[in-house]
Formats: sequence, structure tokens, C-alpha cells
Amino acid sequence: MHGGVGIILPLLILVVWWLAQRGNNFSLPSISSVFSLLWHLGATPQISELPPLSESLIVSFVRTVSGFIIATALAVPLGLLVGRSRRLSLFVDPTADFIYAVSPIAWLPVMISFIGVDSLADLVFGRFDAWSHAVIDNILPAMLLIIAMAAFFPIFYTTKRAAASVREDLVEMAVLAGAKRYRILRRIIFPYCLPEIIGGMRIGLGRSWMVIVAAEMYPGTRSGLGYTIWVSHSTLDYSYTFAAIILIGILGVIMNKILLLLELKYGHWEARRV
Amino acid sequence: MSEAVLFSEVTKSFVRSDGSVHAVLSEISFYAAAGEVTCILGPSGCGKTTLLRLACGLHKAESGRIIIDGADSGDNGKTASNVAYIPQQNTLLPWLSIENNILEPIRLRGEEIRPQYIDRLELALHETGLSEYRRNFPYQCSGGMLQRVVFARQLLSDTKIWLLDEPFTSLDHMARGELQKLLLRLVKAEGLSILLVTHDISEALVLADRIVVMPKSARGSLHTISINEKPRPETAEFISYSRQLRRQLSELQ
Repeated sequence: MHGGVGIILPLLILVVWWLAQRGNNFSLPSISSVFSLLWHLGATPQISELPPLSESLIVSFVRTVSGFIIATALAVPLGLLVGRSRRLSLFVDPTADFIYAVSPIAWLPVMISFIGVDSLADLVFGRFDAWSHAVIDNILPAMLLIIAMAAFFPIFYTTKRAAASVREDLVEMAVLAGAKRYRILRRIIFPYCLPEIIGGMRIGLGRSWMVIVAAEMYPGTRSGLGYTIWVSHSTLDYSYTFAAIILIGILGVIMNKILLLLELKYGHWEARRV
Repeated sequence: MSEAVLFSEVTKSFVRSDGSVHAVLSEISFYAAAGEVTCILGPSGCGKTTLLRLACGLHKAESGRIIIDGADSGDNGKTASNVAYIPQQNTLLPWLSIENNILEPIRLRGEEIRPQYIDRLELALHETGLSEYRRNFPYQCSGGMLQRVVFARQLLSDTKIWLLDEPFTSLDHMARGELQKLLLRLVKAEGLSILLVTHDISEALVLADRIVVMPKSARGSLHTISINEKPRPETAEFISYSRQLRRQLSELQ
């Protein structure tokens, strides 16, 4: 069947939405009002607490991606290390399992009480100038850590499992060829795990994208798509709620697709492995 | 003629998970002469693979001496660099193309790919008939082709002693015959010494200059048959040889 059939369901939803709105549903915004907001992303909203949608979009995206990069940088080497060492695994596993079992959102107040609510701009430019750097003034280290935490575990666990399942005969081959430990890690273990690492990254990025929206509903936030949903919902202007949800969905799909393409590029040999 | 591989009263046992000790090899002695194909013939589970893994240093013997190319390999606890170990399942890296697989041991050693290696790559591809498949990935290759790649990869190293563990068992009849011919050709052209283990009597007869018979729970010096002139398959001589080998395997059991 042609891939174009995927458009049918969204169109159906639009029809249902249109019908519901014509039925004089008070709180439901019109399709045209929502798409007009999406069309003028940079416009300043009438609700004074809300920054333009474009700013919220960028802030949420930067928060997510920076947290995700921190998570990847930590989770891949740690996963490889712990996956290759039984002893390290025994040392780390109980703690990792415990942290993973609690939702990252629940850790946010814990993080804030540990490291405060200073933004990156506060830390870099000082409190007086912080406000003039809109994007990074909206990025709190505590929130970044939560995002990183959300992405860390899927990446860490998939990397660890892959590293533990590397075919021993390939490692022996490298040893017999005269390879040092570092080269075995770099030329055998890492490429062997790479497709699974990217798969873990994909799940991790999806998770942090979900967590950011929830985290932005915390008091003290002044920007972001999650914040937009929260504020517009409490002021009963649902057109912003809908617009933010659509943006979250679209960006989530795009990010997922990019990593899926990477997964196919670096895992072509695994997909067809017999 | 000197010995490529010499086992002298080698003993090896493994500790099972329940703690009991399982003796695999008991004071085994035999040798493989340089420039020859020596086949170790025995049923599965008799310790043939263990024997090869001892020879290349992946296992350590408890007692006895293993001499590879005149040098004692048993004591230093390192893997032997002067033998090539070719396990039953190919150890090609599935994410690399055929030509990169052939060059990989050089990169694993930490060396740059110098022009001389490219020349040798071309030669090895040619010798193994892989030139037109060089950019294929292992998952695009048949079992016979994969075995050729393994041989080609080995040709780029300078090791002349090859230890092969049932290299043709998983191949179909046609591919097996071709690969056996290729191996014999390489032995002549490159001056290789081969120690090959197999459970297949006719394979041993096709390949071997000498056959070492290794029954289950073998002990001491292994019985050896020299094949002075290789019998052609299905001749009376071939059949009489295989009768003799079958009898020995069952008698010694």
C-alpha cells in the first residue's frame, strides 16, 4: 500500500475536530485559529505571561537536545565499561535500577533543592544581565540534569546489554591479531554495539522530549512548549494549548526519524544478519 | 623435516560449573610437520578444538610442552603470534566490507594501511577469487565465499602455520570441494603448514599428508598414518584407507 494512506487518519481527526467545534463547544478552539498561530510562530501572544511560540519551541528544543547530548556522552562510555565488566555491573546495577524506577519528573524538586534554580545565564553572565539572554536564561541546570537523566537510562541499558553480548570469538580474533585493549574497544566492541546504541539514543531522546514538557510545567519556568500548554490551559485560551501540542508532536516525529535513519545507516549489517 | 606444531605430553582439563573436573586431554603427544597438511581426525567432543586453542595460546595447558615453529609457546602465557587460528564459525566483522575485513588485522595491530598492503590485498583477492566481490558485506556472501575471505585475510599476515577447526563442515558439497582445492593450492603457493581438525574421514583423506587419529578420551601418543600418495576418492585405495581409519577410531575408543 502507498505511504500516502498515513494522511487519512489526521484528516479524519480534523473533520471530527471541525464537527465538534461547530457543535458550539465553548472551550474547543477553531482549526483556523490554531493554524493561524502556527503560521505566525513569532507573533507575541496576547497572554502576557507567554513568550512567542517560536521562542518556546527553541527553548524546549535546546533544553532537550543539550540534556540529551550530556546523557549520550555519559551513557555510552559508562554502558560499554559496565557491560564489559561483571564486577562493575554488580557495583552499579542496584543504584541504577533504583534511579531508573522513579520518574525523572519526580527527581526535579530533588535536583532543585540540591543545586537551586539559577539559570545558565545567571551562572555565565551574572544575575543582572541574565534576562537579556532569553534562551539560555530559560535553561536551568536542574532541568538539564532531569532531561539528561531521562535520556541516560535507555542509552545506558541498551549499550550495556550490547557490550555484554559482543561475540567472544570476534574479541579473540582481535587479541590473536595483536590488538591492544583500547583498539579492541574501538574497533570491535564499539562498532558491534553501535546499532543498539543508536536505538537506545532514539528511545532516550523520545523520553527526554516527553519529560521536558512535563518539567516545564513546574513553577519558575517562563518559557517552553510545556509552559505554553500550562499557561494557556489555565487562562482558558486553548488555541495555544493545541498549537503547542501540534509542535511537540511534529518535532518529536522529526527527531525520531533522524535517529531512525542513523540507526539504519550504521546498522544495515545487523538488520540483515542471519 | 622440522615440526610446525609439536605437542609433548600435554594435559588440559576444565572445571565444570558444578565444581567437578573434566579432563579433556591427557598427556597428548603428536606433531605436525612443516610444509604439510596434518589432519586430526576424531569424533565430536574428543577435544579437537581445545587442542587448537591450546596451540594458539587462547587456552593454557596444565602440563606438557607445546612448541610452535621451534619456539616454546607454553610458558609466557601470551597468545602465539606465529600461528593463525581459524575457528569453525568465521570471525569476519559484519559491519566491514570484504576488503576492509581483509585489512582489519593490520588496523587492529595499530598499523597504517601502506601501499604494500594494498598490493598484497589485490594479490590475496585474486588468489581467492574474490576480486569482484571486494565491496560486498559478509551478509551478502555465501558460506563458501566467507571462508575464502577468511583465507584471504590470513594471507596478509606473515603467519605460515594455520590451525583450522572444521573449516568446511557447514558448506554444501560443491563449495566444500572447491574450498579444499583452494586450501591445497595455497599450501603449495605460500608454503603453509596446516593443522586441521575434522570428524570427516573422507575430508581427511582428500587433504592430509598425515592423519592423526584422536578417539574420545585419548591418552598419550596419538596414532598417526602417513599418506604417501593421496588416494583419489572412490578408488579401492581410498576405501581401504577409510576402512582402516574407521577401525582405528572405534578400536581406540
